[in-house]
Order: sequence, then structure tokens, then C-alpha cells
Amino acid sequence: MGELSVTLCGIELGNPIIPASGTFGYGAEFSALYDLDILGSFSFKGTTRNPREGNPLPRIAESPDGMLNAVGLQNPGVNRVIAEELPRLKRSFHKPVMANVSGFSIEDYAETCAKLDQEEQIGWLEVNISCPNVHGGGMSFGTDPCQAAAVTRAVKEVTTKPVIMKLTPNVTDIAAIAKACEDAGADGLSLINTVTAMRIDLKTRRPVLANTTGGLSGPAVFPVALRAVWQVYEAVRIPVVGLGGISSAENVIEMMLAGATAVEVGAANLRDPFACPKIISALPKTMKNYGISSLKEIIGGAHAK
Amino acid sequence: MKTNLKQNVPHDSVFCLTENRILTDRVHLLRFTGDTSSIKAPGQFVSVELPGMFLRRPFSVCDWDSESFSVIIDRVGEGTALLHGLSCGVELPVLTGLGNGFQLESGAAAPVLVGGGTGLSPLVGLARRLRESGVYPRILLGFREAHDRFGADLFDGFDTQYASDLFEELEKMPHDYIYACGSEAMMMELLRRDGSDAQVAFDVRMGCGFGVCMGCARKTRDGMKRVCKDGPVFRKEELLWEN
Ligand SMILES: Cc1cc2nc3c(=O)[nH]c(=O)nc-3n(C[C@H](O)[C@H](O)[C@H](O)COP(=O)(O)OP(=O)(O)OC[C@H]3O[C@@H](n4cnc5c(N)ncnc54)[C@H](O)[C@@H]3O)c2cc1C
Ligand SMILES: Cc1cc2nc3c(=O)[nH]c(=O)nc-3n(C[C@H](O)[C@H](O)[C@H](O)COP(=O)(O)O)c2cc1C
Ligand code: FES
Repeated sequence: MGELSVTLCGIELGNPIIPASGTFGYGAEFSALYDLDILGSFSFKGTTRNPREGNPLPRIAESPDGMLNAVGLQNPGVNRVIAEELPRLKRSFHKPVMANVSGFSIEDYAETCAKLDQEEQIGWLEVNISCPNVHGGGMSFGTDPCQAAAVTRAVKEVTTKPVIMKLTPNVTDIAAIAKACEDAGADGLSLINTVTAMRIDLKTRRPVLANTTGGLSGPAVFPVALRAVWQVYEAVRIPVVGLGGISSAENVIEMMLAGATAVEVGAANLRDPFACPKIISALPKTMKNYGISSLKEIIGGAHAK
Repeated sequence: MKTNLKQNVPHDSVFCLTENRILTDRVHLLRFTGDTSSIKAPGQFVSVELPGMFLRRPFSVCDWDSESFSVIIDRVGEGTALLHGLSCGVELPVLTGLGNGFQLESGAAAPVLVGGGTGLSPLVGLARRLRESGVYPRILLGFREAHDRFGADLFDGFDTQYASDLFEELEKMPHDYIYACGSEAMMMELLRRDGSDAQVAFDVRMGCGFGVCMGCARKTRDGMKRVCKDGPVFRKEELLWEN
């Protein structure tokens, strides 16, 4: 049987499959469906310094081969995540978890990360500087190399855990942002967050989403994500986590060939709650079909040597 | 700590369409046969995976038994049109056991079930459950236009009435409790004007339908609640009126 394990910023994963932030809550609902320990890890819901109620409804729209969301980072706030969610998670998941963090100022990011740094089960901090659905924060840090670097430095100062900066595709040059994060000390990068998008309801002649715009994800964005991972892999030496539209074992292999060390699976979990277990169990056979004996060996394999 | 997490665990399995009955030019009743063991309460919903569409489509369970469940589907867009056109024998993946469902209110001796349009669907199973518990609810079905009316025959043996103005009819009906499902604006107006306690089921756009994406959250007196997981049925006292 093929070797599925990979190493992400010094932490070994049994397989490269990581459910993506915002599509897996804090693990509780999925733990009722399947054994979470079959996953490489998972990235929990974007967590902020203070609780957030998120955007008005509707927050969800559909599109060909994908969906739009404008949830607006609804979450209970870092204190309740630590007090309630993490103790519960410890009972159903026995591996390092990825903590996804968002903020509206550099101090927000630093304070939230400093608190999460104290939590034993957290393996990596995934710092979201790419949320398109909140105003006055989120994505604005991820569209300017100087801001992205400033957030990276601030977070690195408060933690010894590996810091993965999560990037937005809504920029002209994603490699430049990636490089700025690497230079500022990031241990890894994850990309992509959603692509800004919108839909209009023909009957009401109004935007479907109450927020007007939202973020597109699902299979429709896979080629965009693949291109971004390809470009970033060429620009940096730190590991890249690839995500955007992954819904099959073939997609995982393609993303790893583009340069991903591990992958995250987002919207696919919403369409099919068993998407991740299905991908994990399909991997060995799919690897065999393409003559792959170890996933580690194919990372970046499509780039010219 | 939430204690209800294990109560409504969704179940994914393949169902076979065994009936596609035309109720009106816009509304069909579809029956799906398969493993219904996760359906526990009236007011719970299912979500159906459709070929070529990314998100599953949520529908209230109209009624169910050990072999099949029925849904009543209003044709409003691409997915519902596709469902109306399906022939018996087609198999589709369906998530069942979603949402909390109505709780039978033991103190209510004279409940009325109020349905707005297709919102009558989950009231069919609820009426049966109430009858099994020895309570005979009255049924009030609201339709803006008389020619859109359907569904009274689904409430076999109950005192069922159609209304164009739900509130006007409700006032004339002695009742001590309301179970309601229909358009949000109509239900909220009704509950605002009527003094009785109530439970009401909401319909909002959903991402997952099983509680993980926060696509459906609504503010209540007890904070943000997910319509798909903590609802779709809410008690009147949980609701915020400015919502
Ligand atoms: C808990 C619940 C119970 C429901 N029960 C019923 C029922 O018993 N009978 C019935 O006819 N309808 C019911 N609905 C509404 C039904 O889900 C939508 O009418 C249906 O999804 C529309 O799909 P479409 O592809 O035809 O429409 P499109 O407009 O083409 O769909 C595009 C997207 O918007 C979503 N959407 C559009 N309208 C609605 C809506 N009103 N509510 C939620 N999502 C919507 C679709 O799911 C899809 O993701 C229920 C909805 C919920 C949330
Ligand atoms: C409903 C929803 C909520 C999301 N919430 C977050 C979030 O809180 N933090 C974050 O970094 N990304 C969030 N994302 C983005 C995903 O993690 C992922 O980057 C994106 O959806 C692309 O992957 P996919 O196509 O596999 O979904 C969210 C996505 C969806 C669909
Ligand atoms: S629809 Fe995803 S949480 Fe309710």
C-alpha cells in the first residue's frame, strides 16, 4: 500500500487531508458522523478576539459547480472556543488541530494567537488574512504585502507554534504576498480562500446575498487555486497547503503535484458530509493508478526540475 | 455544553423515488423509499442531492413510516423543476434526520396547525403524531389566492379549513396553542398578533443543513442559533421580533 503520510511544518500527518476552516465547525457535528482521527488534521472555524454574530441572511448562494458564502466570521470568540470547544474536541480528536484565526487589527490577531498558543492540542496557527466577507479587516491585510508581513511578524512574536498565513486569490500578484509573509517569518502558507463573487435573483432583481458579495468556493475554483499554488510554490521555500475546490483523490494528487504539502477540503464537506473519508479511502487506489508509492515524493512534482 | 448533539444525527443513504403525484400545476408530492430510521419527529427535514447542482435541496418531511417518506415540493427554480420531472425508480442520495422537529406540547388541549402554502407539509406528520397522542388539532391552511389551494385531503379525518386571511380565521377558532410553518413574514405577523404559545418552523437558504457552516444562523433570545441544527422549529419565546 502507498505511503500517505506527509510532514507539515515539522508535524507529521497520517494523510494530507485537512477539512478547511468554516466547513467543519469545531469538529463536534462531524464527530457524530465519523471518527475524526482518520483525518490528517482539521482547521477549525475562523476565530476572533470577540464573539461575532456574522452577516444578515441570506448568507449562501449557489453557482455552477460551487457556492457563494458571506457568513461574516460568525464565531463564539476565542475565550469560549478555549473554554468550551477545545475541551470537547479533546474527547473526539486525538491529533494536533489547526487553529484558524481572523482579526480586524494587528492587535486582534496577536491577542487571539497569544491565547491559542497556550492550548496544547493546537498544532498550527492558520492566520486568515483573506476573508472577503467582513469589512474593515480580514482580506485587507492579505492584499498588501506590507500589511501581510506586519500581521505575520506580530503573530510570530506571540507564539512558538508554526504559523501558516492563509492567502486570498483576490490580488494581482499572490506570489508577492507569499514572499512577504515568508520574509516576515511565516512557517507555511495556505491558499486559496474564496474568490469574491456575487449572484442576482432574477425574480427580485436584487443580489441573492444580503452582503451583496460573497466568496466563491467549490470545484469551480479548483483551477484558480491550482494556479495560485503553482505560482507560490515557485516563489517560496516554506510549505504550501493547497485548497480550493478539492473534492476527489485525483484533485489531491493534482494539487500536490502543483506544490502542496497538504491539502484542505472545504465546500465539498457541505455537499457531502462524508467527502473527506471518501477521499482518504480512495487515495491508495488512485495513487496506485498513477504509479505513486509515496505522496511525499510528488510534492511540486509538476514543476520543471 | 450542548446536550442535544447526538439527538439529530444526519444519515446519508440512497432513496428510490416511488411516487410523483401532481397536487397542483406548481406542487407535487414525492415519495422516497429507503432507510427512514433517522427520521424521528415531524418538522425535521431531508436534503436531496441532485445531479448537476452543487448544494443539496432541503425539504420538510411531510410524513413518514418505516419504509418511506413523502415531501411536498413547490416548483420555484432549477432543482425543484428537476425533481418534478423525475420518474419513479430514480435513485438519489438523501440526508435524513436533519433538524430538531416539533415537540408535542403536552399542556395543549386544543392546538391549531397553521400552514402557509407549501408550509402545510410538515403539519401532515405532526397531525398524525398528535392524534396518536390523543389530541385532535384543527388545521388552518392559508393561501393568498383561492385557486392555489391544495392539501386539505392530506389531513384525513381532521377539521381542516382554508383561509385567505389566516389571522381572521384563527381568531374565530378556539385554540390554546399554535404549530406553524410558512413564509417567515406571515408566521411572524400571526404570532405577533395571537396571544397563544407557539412553535414555528423556518425556511432559510442553507449551505450544509447539518450545523457546520453557519450559513443559516438566526439571532434568538438565547443568542445565535442555526436554523438547520438548533431549528428549523423554534418556540415563540425564543424569537426576537425585530429579526
Ligand atoms: C428546512 C427547510 C424546509 C423546506 N421545506 C420545503 C418544503 O417542504 N417544500 C418546498 O417546496 N420547499 C421547501 N423548502 C424550500 C426549498 O428548499 C427551496 O424551495 C428549494 O431549495 C429551491 O430549489 P431550486 O433549485 O428549485 O431553486 P433555485 O432558486 O434554483 O435554488 C438556488 C439555491 O437557492 C436555494 N433556495 C432557493 N429558494 C430557497 C428557499 N425558499 N429556501 C431555502 N433555500 C432556497 C436552493 O436550495 C439552492 O441552493 C424548505 C427549505 C428549508 C430550509
Ligand atoms: C461556509 C464557508 C465558511 C468559511 N469560513 C472560513 C473561515 O472562517 N476562515 C477561513 O480562513 N476560511 C473560511 N472559508 C474558506 C475555506 O476555508 C476555503 O478557503 C475556501 O472555501 C476554498 O476551498 P473549497 O473550495 O474547498 O471550499 C469558508 C468557506 C465556506 C464555504
Ligand atoms: S446550513 Fe450550515 S449551519 Fe445551517
